[in-house]
Amino acid sequence: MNELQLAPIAASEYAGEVDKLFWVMNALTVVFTIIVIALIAFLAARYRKGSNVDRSNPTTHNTLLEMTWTLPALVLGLGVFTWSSRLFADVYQPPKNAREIFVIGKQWMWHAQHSDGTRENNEIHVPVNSPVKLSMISQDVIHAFYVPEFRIQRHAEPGRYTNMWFTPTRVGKYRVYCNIYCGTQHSEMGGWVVVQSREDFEKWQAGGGGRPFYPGGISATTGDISLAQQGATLFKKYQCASCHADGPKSSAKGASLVGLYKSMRQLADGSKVLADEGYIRSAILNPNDVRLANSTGSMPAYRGSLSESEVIALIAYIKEIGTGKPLEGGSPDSVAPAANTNSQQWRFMYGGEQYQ
Amino acid sequence: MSTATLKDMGKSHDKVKEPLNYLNATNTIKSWLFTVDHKRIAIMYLVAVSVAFLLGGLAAGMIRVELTVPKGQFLTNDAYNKVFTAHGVIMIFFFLIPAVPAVLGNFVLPLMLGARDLAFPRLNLLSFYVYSAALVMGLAAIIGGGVDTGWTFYTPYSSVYSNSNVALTIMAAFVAGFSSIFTGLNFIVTIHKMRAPGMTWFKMPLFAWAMYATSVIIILGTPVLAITLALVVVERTLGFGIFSPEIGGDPVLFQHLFWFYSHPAVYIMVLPAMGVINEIIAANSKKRIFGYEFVAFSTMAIAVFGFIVWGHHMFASSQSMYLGLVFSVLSFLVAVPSAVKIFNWATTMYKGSVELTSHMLYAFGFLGLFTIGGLTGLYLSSLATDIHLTATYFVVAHFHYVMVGGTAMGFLAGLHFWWPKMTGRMYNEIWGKVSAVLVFLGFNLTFLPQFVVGYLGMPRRYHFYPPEFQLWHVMSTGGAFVLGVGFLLPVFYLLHSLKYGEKAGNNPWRAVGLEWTTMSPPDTHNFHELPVVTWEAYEYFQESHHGGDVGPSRFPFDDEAVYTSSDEEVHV
Amino acid sequence: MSLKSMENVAVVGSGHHMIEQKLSVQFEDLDQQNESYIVGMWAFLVTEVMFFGALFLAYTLYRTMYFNTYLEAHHFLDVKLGTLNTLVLLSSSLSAALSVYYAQHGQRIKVALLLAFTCICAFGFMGIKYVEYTSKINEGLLPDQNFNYAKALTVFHEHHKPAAGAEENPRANVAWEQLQLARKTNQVSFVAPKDDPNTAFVESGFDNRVTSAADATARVVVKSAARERFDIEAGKAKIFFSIYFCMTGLHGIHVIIGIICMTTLILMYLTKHPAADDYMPIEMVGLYWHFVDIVWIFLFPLMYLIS
Repeated sequence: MNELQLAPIAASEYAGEVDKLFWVMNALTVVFTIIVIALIAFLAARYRKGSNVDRSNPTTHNTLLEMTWTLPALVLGLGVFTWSSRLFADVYQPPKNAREIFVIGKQWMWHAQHSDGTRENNEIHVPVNSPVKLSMISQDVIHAFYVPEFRIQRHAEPGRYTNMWFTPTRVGKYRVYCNIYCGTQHSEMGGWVVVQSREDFEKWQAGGGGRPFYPGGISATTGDISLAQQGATLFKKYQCASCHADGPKSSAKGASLVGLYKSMRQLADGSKVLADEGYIRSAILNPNDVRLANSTGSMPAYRGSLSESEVIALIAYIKEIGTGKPLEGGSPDSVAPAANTNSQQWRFMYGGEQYQ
Repeated sequence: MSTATLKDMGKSHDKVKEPLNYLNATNTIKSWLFTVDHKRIAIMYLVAVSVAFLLGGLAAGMIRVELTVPKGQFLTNDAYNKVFTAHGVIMIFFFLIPAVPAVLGNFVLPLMLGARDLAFPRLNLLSFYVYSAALVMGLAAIIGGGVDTGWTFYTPYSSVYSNSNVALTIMAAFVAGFSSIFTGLNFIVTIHKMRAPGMTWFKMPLFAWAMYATSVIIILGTPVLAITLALVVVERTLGFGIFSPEIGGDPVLFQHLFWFYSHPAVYIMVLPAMGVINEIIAANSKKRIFGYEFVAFSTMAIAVFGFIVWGHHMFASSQSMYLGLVFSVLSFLVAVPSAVKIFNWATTMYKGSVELTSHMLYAFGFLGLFTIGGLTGLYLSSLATDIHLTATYFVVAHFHYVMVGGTAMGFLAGLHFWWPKMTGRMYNEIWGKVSAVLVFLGFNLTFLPQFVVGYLGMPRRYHFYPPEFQLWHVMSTGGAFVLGVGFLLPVFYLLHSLKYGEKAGNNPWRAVGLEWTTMSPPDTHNFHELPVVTWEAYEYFQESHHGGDVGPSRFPFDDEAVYTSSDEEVHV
Repeated sequence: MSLKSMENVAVVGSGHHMIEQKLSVQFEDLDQQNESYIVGMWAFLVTEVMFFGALFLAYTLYRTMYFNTYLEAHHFLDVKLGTLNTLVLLSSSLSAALSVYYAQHGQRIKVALLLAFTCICAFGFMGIKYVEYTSKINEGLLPDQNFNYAKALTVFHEHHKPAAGAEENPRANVAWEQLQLARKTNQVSFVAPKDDPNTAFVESGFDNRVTSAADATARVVVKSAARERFDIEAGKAKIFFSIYFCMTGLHGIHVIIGIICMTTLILMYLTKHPAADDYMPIEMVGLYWHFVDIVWIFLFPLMYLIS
């Protein structure tokens, strides 16, 4: 990385597309700037004071001329806008088959939870050439998840899910930055997206994802129970099933959760909403906000009782209810210990590692 | 109804000895501190914003030194965060926003319009003291512990999480807002009601149009920012809840309200500078600004469009895609009036008589840098590129091209242009040119690398950065020192001119404009007799609307005749 | 050159009520001066509209998001006092308008009396506001750290107990029911069993699993769900009251500024201060006072009359 670098590596499908637009805009900028500078230099030199040139009938306005530079500028601008917006519309809506990873930002680290239950801090392993969707939330202030090699970033806001997606096309390790100022160690809040070949990724998954990565025995956390399985355990722990059916058996009180995900829900205030992750999150944390039309309104709110991690696990489980798929993963007994990533020491070491 | 007239007064003025002017009419400290003369207030503002600029520049220097190495140890994380916040807060609220309107606008606007003063002179003085109070508060907050939120004060970081002097800093910005509201009100009324006889709207210099557009933005936008910042203070100090997500508040609402002002604030900063450039290009080309009406209307168009594009600061937030599309297309549209201006300025020189004075060099610098600043703005209004580039050094470079390349260059250009009028003295032209060139070169060396490093992915507000970005940062720091020298030079030669400079005549640049018909420095009440405007704006020669020969200007040039289509300069 | 020597005096008016206006040095004639003041005042009022505009926007956003909370919380505002204040302010606006009229006709005494009446109304408004604010603060509805929605609800329901045989009071029911539910359940706290990885993961919240045995037996305190549910409602109510206090507070500051201006004017009229010859200052204050009135006309239904 010592040679002069003028462009970051393009490591996602989107990056390639954006680069095309970027360089076209660069070309337009350079051409336009040269035109302006050349025009100024030419006119200043030719009509400098005392030069012997024709100054008869100077014009001070010319509507046609005004139009000849206004309209092309407008047309070019709108052309760029259209091109850019189509790219953005694509990257705004994640494809259905995207592998979903939940990302939580907090001062000053990133925490990722894979749907198979693997958890990582400041690192996200993804397989190459398959779309990945990050569902993000913040635990404190606003953060932004930014991977320059993918040419994409999105804010992680407290209290609201945002998402971004990308299809990595190049195996490698790419920096993640927090790109909304978030306090003292803002510049040290970062990590890596590790793009692996499918085989390597599967090996990584099979190995529980855990291998000593950093000095001091810090490792990505093993996940033997899938996220949905953890959700199922929490579902039992909080006795959700006493009101909500998670199987064919219907229960008396609450709405059945079978086939809930991506269904339309009729709310008490008359509106209809799509039951996506954000909806399920509200329904768990602040059920009164999204009360169903036929609901008794007796569901307690779980805000404050559940961590963001737990909500994510519950959502993962609820999404699986009624799909008929068995929950994948190992037994809950084999849980590997992980580093206490909360410790000041860890952060210090990590922060040191990133920029060495 | 009125029977009042000031004609008698005018006569009494004639008896006053010629050298008596606004500077030497009285010379006690008190006569300065309690002056209601717009020209003296402008001078006091000049001193104050210069102090702010130097302090903000000092902070910038610290940032650049710290970023020379990837893991700078000269400042701690906290100190670094406080320094860049100080840089932003001081430069934006205490230099860029007041610089051109409160110094140059205050001084020349009444002169240009043929008025004896602004409509409300005491309000003008109040505005200065409010500004000074705000500056003192801001400096107290920064020196007494500092503030680490960044000048954007995003919630919930500013309202809950930050452990620094957020409340005092915000109050400083709040109070400074009132100062600009007062100035804006004053300018609006002055332009509406105080124009000299014959000075119709379309005979006004374009600088006055720029001041008008700026004032409209100020009175519409500033209160929104003021109240938003006040809400953050209330939330932070009293524990109220407006933006706090803890209790169901929406932190993004803060961003909407903040950018509703702070995007138009960009135009508050740059429109006045554009106004200055109009005056200078016309005066140094001895030509009427090409497409005067287009430029006037584009100024107003920018003011209007400026209010409906704020959402382009939030493309990467949870703002919906459709809102993003609307803000994006509007942002592309707002670029058009700016492009119109650039071409009109360049074309003004066509068949003119161009003099490369130091202020013209500054104006050229403005044109080049603002073109780049404006064009790179398009990368950030375009959704797809924005979500890569936003909040990186690309943005930092972009807005410095607009703010320093635009506003600061415009301010220096205007200061050089009107300095003889303000002080009655000529400065050293060679040093002026050296400074203009140094600023231009130093600026590009500082900020061009930042476009590259931003595209490579260097986030803004980063204290530590990956080593592969170091080369670009070193270049940037080197440029910053050249830039610093370029900015410091005028301090010396302008001060030097006060004592040793040649005496300037009434119209050293032989420019058209009412301010050049007064003596230099002007009399306390500007005009001995209220002028009657019979000429068009920038009438260096009489226009031939129907294609005939051009006539001599109706503008009363003092001594020598200015450029007309001269006999010996015939087309070969 | 002192300004005073340059001031010109003009006499305008009709009939035997002559009023004098002084011309400031920067103006050419009195028409220009008066028009300048009018334009300046209107521009200032535009600024004021934007001031309140930001708050109205925040109000509208949260009203859409949390309509039910707004509906319930607004019952804590006293409609009777609000209506009274509206009437007080409306009559003060009328007297302010009349005082401007008489000022243009040079009738000092009438002007002073009408201004005094306006001022008394303004004081009355602030007095009533004081009563309202104090009761809100005593009820625990000041949305600072001591905001206590539970206390307020309790007091409210004690005061509004339905008469025997009457229907249950329909106000603030959702929050009140939640509060009663919350009171039945206490905070839950338990010791996490060492060998249950899930509990351990629950407890450490963000960091999924814990490393040391000491951590694993940490005490977990969880609010009861009902309590939590009430707290959410209280949080939204806090937003309502924050906006209420900010908006009415900002309006109150404007009333106080109005009082200061009017008192100054009254003193000027009583002492026959030369500046009081000019009717422009009072016209400005009049315009300002109408604006203050209009803001209240918007605030009153938006805050007190939500349905």
